[in-house]
Amino acid sequence: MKVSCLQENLAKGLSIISRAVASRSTLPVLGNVLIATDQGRLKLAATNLELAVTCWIGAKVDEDGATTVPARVLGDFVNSLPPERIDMELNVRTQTLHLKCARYDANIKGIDASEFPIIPTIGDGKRISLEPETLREMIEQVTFAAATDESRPVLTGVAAKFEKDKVTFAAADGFRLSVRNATLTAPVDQPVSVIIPAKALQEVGRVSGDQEEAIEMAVTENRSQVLFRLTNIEIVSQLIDGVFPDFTRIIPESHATRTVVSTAELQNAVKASSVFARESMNTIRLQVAPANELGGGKMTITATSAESGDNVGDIDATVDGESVEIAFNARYLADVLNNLRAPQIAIETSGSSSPGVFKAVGRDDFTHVIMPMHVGK
Amino acid sequence: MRQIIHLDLDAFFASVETLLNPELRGKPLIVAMGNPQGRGVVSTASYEARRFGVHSAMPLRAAARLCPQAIIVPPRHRVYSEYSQRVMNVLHEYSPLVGQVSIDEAYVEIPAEQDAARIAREIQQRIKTEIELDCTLAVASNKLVAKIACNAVKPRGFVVVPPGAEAQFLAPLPIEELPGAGKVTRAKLARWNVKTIGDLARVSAEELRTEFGKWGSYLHEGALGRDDSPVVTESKPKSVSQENTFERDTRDVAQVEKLLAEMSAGVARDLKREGYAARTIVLKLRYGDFTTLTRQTTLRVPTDDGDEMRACALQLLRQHWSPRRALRLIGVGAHNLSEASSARQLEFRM
Repeated sequence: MKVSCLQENLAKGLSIISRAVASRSTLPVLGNVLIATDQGRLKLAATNLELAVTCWIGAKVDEDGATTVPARVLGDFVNSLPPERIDMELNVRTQTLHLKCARYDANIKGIDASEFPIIPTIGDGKRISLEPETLREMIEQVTFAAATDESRPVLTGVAAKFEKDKVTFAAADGFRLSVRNATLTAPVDQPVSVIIPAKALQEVGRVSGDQEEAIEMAVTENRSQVLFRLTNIEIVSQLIDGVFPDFTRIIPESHATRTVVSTAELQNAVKASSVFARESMNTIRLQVAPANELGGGKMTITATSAESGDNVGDIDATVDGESVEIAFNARYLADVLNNLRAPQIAIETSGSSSPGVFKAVGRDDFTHVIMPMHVGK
Repeated sequence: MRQIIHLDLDAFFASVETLLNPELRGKPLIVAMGNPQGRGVVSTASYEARRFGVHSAMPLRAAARLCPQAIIVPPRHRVYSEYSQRVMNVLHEYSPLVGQVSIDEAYVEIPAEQDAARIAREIQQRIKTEIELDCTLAVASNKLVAKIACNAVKPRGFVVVPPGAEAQFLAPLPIEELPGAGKVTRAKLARWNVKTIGDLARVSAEELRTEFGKWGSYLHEGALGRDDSPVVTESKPKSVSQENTFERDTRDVAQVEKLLAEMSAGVARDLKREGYAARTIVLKLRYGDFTTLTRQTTLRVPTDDGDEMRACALQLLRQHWSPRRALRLIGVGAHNLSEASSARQLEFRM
């Protein structure tokens, strides 16, 4: 193999595939990146067997070939090079990749490309076309609510459902639930319902920043894998086997109080209270009082720490219903506020131990539910 | 100048047993779980038994060989705790700064304007007459010297190390008496031919730092009898755990699981009593060949619930123990503790 490319392109390509590199694997080749010439371009790929990311970068190919080299070594070296042309040449016998860029030179010891797992590709089956900006927003608004521990594997995934021209993403970790709906640009013939690992979707979101054309998604015949195809990038992930709990049951149908506040003001108040919530299991109390003869409605945000002290913050609120006192985990509040993407938030509650429902005012495509903290006396 | 009293109850468990059963008086007594043929370990031996070479932490089998006529009684921790509490209550009458370090050991800091030696005498006298227990007390200007001095004059001892005389007092004592100078440290110290604390004091701080790093500074300061650690009145436990050695190595799944379930419930009870919840549950396994491994699981929400702890421990056991390997010891611990605050995150039912 003999190939040349630009340092910026190689660095970017390596960053795109970096999260799929296995960090601690018993199989050394999984810590490597596959470098192969592919129809006049350079293909880079990494996989940890759960997730595989492939990306193609422009290159001048003088001689076809392939190898794998340690991803960390190559990535760290390339990142320290000047933005100039990199010439690479593989010594097939020793599987050593020689790199030359400006006045830098390196020999990186690799493993034969034949030992690298074959990354599945998806045939010409049914494709679902997704608008990139919408997909990115859905990923941002849903994946943070997925579980990070493995005690219930289905909860580490996002339930994705496609039916006619509707798509729904939902994730829940047992304490909170995030649901986002959207309309498809092209309807699907048959409904598709899969559980995609939240981590895989986060990767799709991460690498799709520059994507302008539609992202194609396809599920394998046996429903074991999902593929996302972007311009010059492909992400393949195992799907999570199992049944996602019926989350619609969790979303309360009615409420006693609906409180509307400014997202930014509540964000600030929660941030201030978090300082004092740290030592009390991150508990923040919200007290909502409707307007009365003394003044308009307001929300009071408080946190108390036995060690460091306490704080109180007041913000204006439009309150419809009776007064409320409810406590939430500060981090959960911050997460939903950071991902709401609307200037005003509506909080629907029905008592201090019933779930709180958070909605973006003026939009009906996003619903977030958080279980409160039970605060003993 | 600070004034620290270190108190150590003499052969505490054995003394309480003798107190409750006067027939044991003057006889070699060993407090230990298990029987001499089994795998028990000596908790405490009376001074009569110690004359035969019996000491705590010794395998019971070995102790029984050294002193076959010894009377062996099982420990009764609840009773000892009660006596311990009575002793601590006496100490609290003299100073609010009482730092209990174990069931039979405590430091008391006495304000500078009071006569610590007189107070220490009085404490020893009162514990003898009011609680009928013997103890050893040492008075010094810091915890380290008080502790070493106390060990040096046990049992029924009393010593005052005057301020300024710390290094001189420690110098002739064997290096083993310096807390922290364990086997590894002593082996490394051998190259300076260190046999006594005085020998250590003569090694330059520089050399010790080169060999031991930060620990070297501690050794140097300690050898000179310097210590400025405070009396800690209340310490938050880092972990709560229980472990048990089987009478015989076992592959019996039902037996192991039953014991583990009991121990988990016990750990949960201890946690609840102390007002803590744990986020990490640790399983400890020791095989017949003494290979020991610990495996842990971290929960999303801290718990003090016995059922949850048992479920976690059993799950760890099922994941990591194959009954093909016989177990010698099993333990369960609760780590990563936080105060069981009154707040609790509610969960969806899903």
